[in-house]
Amino acid sequence: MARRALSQQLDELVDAVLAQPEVPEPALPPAEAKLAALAGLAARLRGLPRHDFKTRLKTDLERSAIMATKPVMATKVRPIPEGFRTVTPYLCVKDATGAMEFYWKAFGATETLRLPMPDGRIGHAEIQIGKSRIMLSDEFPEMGAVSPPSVGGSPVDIHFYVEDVDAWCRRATAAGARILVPVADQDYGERYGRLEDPFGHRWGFSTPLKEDRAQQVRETFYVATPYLVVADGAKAIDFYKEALAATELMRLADPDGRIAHAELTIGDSVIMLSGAAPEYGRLSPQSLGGTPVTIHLYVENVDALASQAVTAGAKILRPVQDQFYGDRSGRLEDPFGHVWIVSTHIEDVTPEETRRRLDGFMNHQAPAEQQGPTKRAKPIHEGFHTVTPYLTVRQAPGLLEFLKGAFGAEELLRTTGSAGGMHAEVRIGDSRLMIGGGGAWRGTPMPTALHLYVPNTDAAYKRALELGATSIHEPMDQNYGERSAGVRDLAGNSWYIATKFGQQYVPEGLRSVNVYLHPRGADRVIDFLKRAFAADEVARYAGPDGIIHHAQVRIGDSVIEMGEAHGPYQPMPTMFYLYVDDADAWYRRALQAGATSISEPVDQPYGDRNASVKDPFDNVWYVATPIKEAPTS
Amino acid sequence: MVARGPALKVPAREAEERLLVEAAQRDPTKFADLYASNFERVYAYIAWRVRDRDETEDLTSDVFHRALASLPRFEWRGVPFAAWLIKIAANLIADRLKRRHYANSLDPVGDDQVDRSFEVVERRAQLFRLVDRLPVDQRRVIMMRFAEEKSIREIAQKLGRTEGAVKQLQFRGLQNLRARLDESNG
Repeated sequence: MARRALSQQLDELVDAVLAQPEVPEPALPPAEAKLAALAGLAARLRGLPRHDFKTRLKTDLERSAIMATKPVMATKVRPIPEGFRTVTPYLCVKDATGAMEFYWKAFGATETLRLPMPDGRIGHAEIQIGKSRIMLSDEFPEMGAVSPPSVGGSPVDIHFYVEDVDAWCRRATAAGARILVPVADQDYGERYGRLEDPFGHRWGFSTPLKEDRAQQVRETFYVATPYLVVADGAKAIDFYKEALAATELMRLADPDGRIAHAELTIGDSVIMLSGAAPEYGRLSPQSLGGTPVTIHLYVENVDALASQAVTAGAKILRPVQDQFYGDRSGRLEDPFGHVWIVSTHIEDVTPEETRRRLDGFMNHQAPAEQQGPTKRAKPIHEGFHTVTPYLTVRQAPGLLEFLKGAFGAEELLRTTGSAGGMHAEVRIGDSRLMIGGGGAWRGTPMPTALHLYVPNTDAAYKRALELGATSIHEPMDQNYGERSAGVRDLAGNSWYIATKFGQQYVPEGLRSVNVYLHPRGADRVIDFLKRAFAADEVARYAGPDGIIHHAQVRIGDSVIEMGEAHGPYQPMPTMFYLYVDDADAWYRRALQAGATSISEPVDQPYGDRNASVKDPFDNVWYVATPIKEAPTS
Repeated sequence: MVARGPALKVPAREAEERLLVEAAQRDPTKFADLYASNFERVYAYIAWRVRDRDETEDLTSDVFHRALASLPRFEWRGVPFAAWLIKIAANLIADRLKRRHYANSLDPVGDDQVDRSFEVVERRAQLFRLVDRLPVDQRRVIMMRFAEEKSIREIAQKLGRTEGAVKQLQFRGLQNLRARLDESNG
């Protein structure tokens, strides 16, 4: 009986403990010391994990661990592979085999990798000179790889700091290099010599003489360093800072501002540059009409860097993609004509495996090349992602001008849509947007809220206001690691402009432009997107009341952000253009998930088969599959 | 109640833990052992700071997934592995609070705050582990009452017992836990 009473009393205490959500170990009136102790224990038990959670997470982790043991997982490899630095010069030569032999004689270069192609040309090779790797290949004019004789010179010297410049130059000259600048003490505190090898590449060697220069020349200078000639040195420095997160170490300028010499670091490496000086045979890629030296960059996150470079003004020569040799890489041309390969190492591949894959790759490639221009349509048009926001407004041309002026948008297409309005496509950073409206179009505008990542929030904000946008909030540092500002453009679109702190201004997983929804009942929207478009919930930050403050869902390769409507952030039904593998199937699936049909699947004259639906939250979704290659403007 | 000093008994376990970490670095599937020995700690820490059960589960899952992914970069510096996990947890919690764009955020978590949390966390983790070792009928009641937050009535219905019997099981369960806790703390 007494026992029973005790357990009753204890349960009342437990109830009291469980009923107080905010107080972890409340002070209880000690009905009895022992009971109080047990109630204290009960308070600590409040966080007891659910029985199945530990098991479920264990299974999850086991699955991830198995995935992690597969070689393709980035977690297993260093983004910059062993033996490489951020910067590696990549030389194109007419006779790679002969060049490797020469570099061995001249510089003691040893071969670390050689990949011959079926036609005998060297597709890729790597040599080691001292602590430096240098990449080289034969000419592949069809892929933009051309040698100095074809270009008519080189806008890039390979520069080394060495202990004994005389010895290096002597050996190279003995092997057959031609002297461009004989070794001599220079008034800037170095002993310097410059050579041209039999393949047309230029090599500079320096030994610091003066103490102050010796101190500036750190270990990172004693490796192969590209020395770029550019038409406009000052502009190039600014560009490399913005595009490649370079930092400026020093610059020497003429009285008229021409850059005579500058040194920048990118990652762990140095690059040097100077303005063009035809009198010394230093010509820019623009005046030469090309470059035989590509600069290879290994970076942590190639996608982010490429998108940053493109936003800053670089041109994509080959989009970033996984390569058979274990890198994810792309090829860019900067506004000064220099060509960069940007890469992240994603998989360690042995040379044997690389060769095996190369064979497979070539066999696979050959028939495709023969097919010529009638290639099969890709599932997504080049440059597009799964999700493209479609902004429809009354003044489409005005919006287009605003986006160009405020956010550096590039107009890719402008035509008249089926409803008589304008249809345009623009690129901002790594993202595409569609814009419609104006003209004879009499539909309902669907302005949109967008999360826009830019290199400089303050500048974009200022330009937006100058072009007539109104401020939602001024630029401010947010404690989640971004500087952000908000504007509303004249067409009613909200732009949450942001710059992530750190090397890359776009956070991982997001793009330059991301749709931000403010629905009522964000959880229901997420449910719908899961059912209709197989969306994946990437993140959800909800309060104890279950209200979603911020969530991210992924559809295909794109992320849509959202937060529950509140205050000034009210629902803005949005139009989405979704590229899918089978428009008909996804249209049906969307209807089953609760969307209503606007238009049934139909082949469009512009090369897509598409259908459209409205979801229960008034967003409009086009689901589209390309049926032929997009017309090139 | 509990002796002062580092709540994680580091030196005794160090060698063994180091072996576990290195094994998992070589073979990620061995991470299961590190998970098993640290699950309660991480969960207890997050539950203590976050309170919301779904969020606690979410964050716990995040911590271990991140730890698994970052394991190759983990360097052994003589600090317990749990400290590394809790630091990840602390940062994720801070992140999450900050990322609620519109909510007021908390101050960032410093190392000292993480250290101070250890004692609380270790005590709770130990308690959670002890629940697993209770006699099955007591354990079931404790789990339903505290992990699933069911009322005595609900539990009674579910187990087909009287409310009085369930209360007694709860009482005995808590008593048992207390005794075992005292025992293991000397």
